[in-house]
Amino acid sequence: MGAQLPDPADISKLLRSLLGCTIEFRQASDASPTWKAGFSSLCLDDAGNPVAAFATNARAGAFMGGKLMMLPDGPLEDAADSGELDEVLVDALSEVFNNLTVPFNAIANNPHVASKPAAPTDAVRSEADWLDKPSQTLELTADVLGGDGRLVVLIK
Amino acid sequence: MKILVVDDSKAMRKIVIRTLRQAGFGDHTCLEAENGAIALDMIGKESPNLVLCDWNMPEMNGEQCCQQARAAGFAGTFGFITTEGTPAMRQRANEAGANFLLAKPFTAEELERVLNVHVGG
Repeated sequence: MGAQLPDPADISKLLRSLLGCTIEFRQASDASPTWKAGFSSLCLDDAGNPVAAFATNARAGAFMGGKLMMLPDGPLEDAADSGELDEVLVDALSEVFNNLTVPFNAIANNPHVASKPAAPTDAVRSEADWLDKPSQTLELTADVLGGDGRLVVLIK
Repeated sequence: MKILVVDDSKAMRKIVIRTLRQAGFGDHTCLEAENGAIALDMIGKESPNLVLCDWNMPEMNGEQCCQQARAAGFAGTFGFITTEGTPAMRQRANEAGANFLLAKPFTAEELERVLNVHVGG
């Protein structure tokens, strides 16, 4: 049996605690392709094999990275609209992804994973083409920075 | 007091330092290192009173850093701040010579509580 997806409620609870906000990410009723042009991080097991990945569209990435760093909304909205996250935001997003391994690793029988630094999904896909055909997907949505933020968990 | 913050994420180092301020430890000198090897060198040269260290890092991880710092005679407080909060990891942290392990995500109140126990306010 493969790895199990974390509970959306556990992810949302962790993000509220980590980011210090009341935004609730809930399971999306539709699939949006916007995360494919965003940022992602592979999760490797203790042997270095890819098991899962976290991905966001630029809007959710700017929101999560920016809130972690307590940055004002204005520049974050600009980043979300342009799709370009600077080094500070990508570094902060890496830390958000790192924290998202907590609910994943808490699931009994899931392999223990650690997340790699966040990078543009186009670049990550070049070393992990399975991102386009994962065995399981959990897509979460939240209205952030004036638009639809998407956070996706993919199991290889 | 000298506090050494060790994490490969610059963002996380800033967050830890910010949270230290919120927890009432803002008057102390904060040093930064981006992996265990650099931290080990700084521990030898700077003699920090407190080390707050991530677990998973390139070059040298936090566990190795703690073990080698203790072996070299470091007697200050060494704490892990990490996503690795399972009982097994806490046991490994303890065996490496750490005083505590604070699991991410954490609040200023939680950091204050653990530091008050191990280093005083």
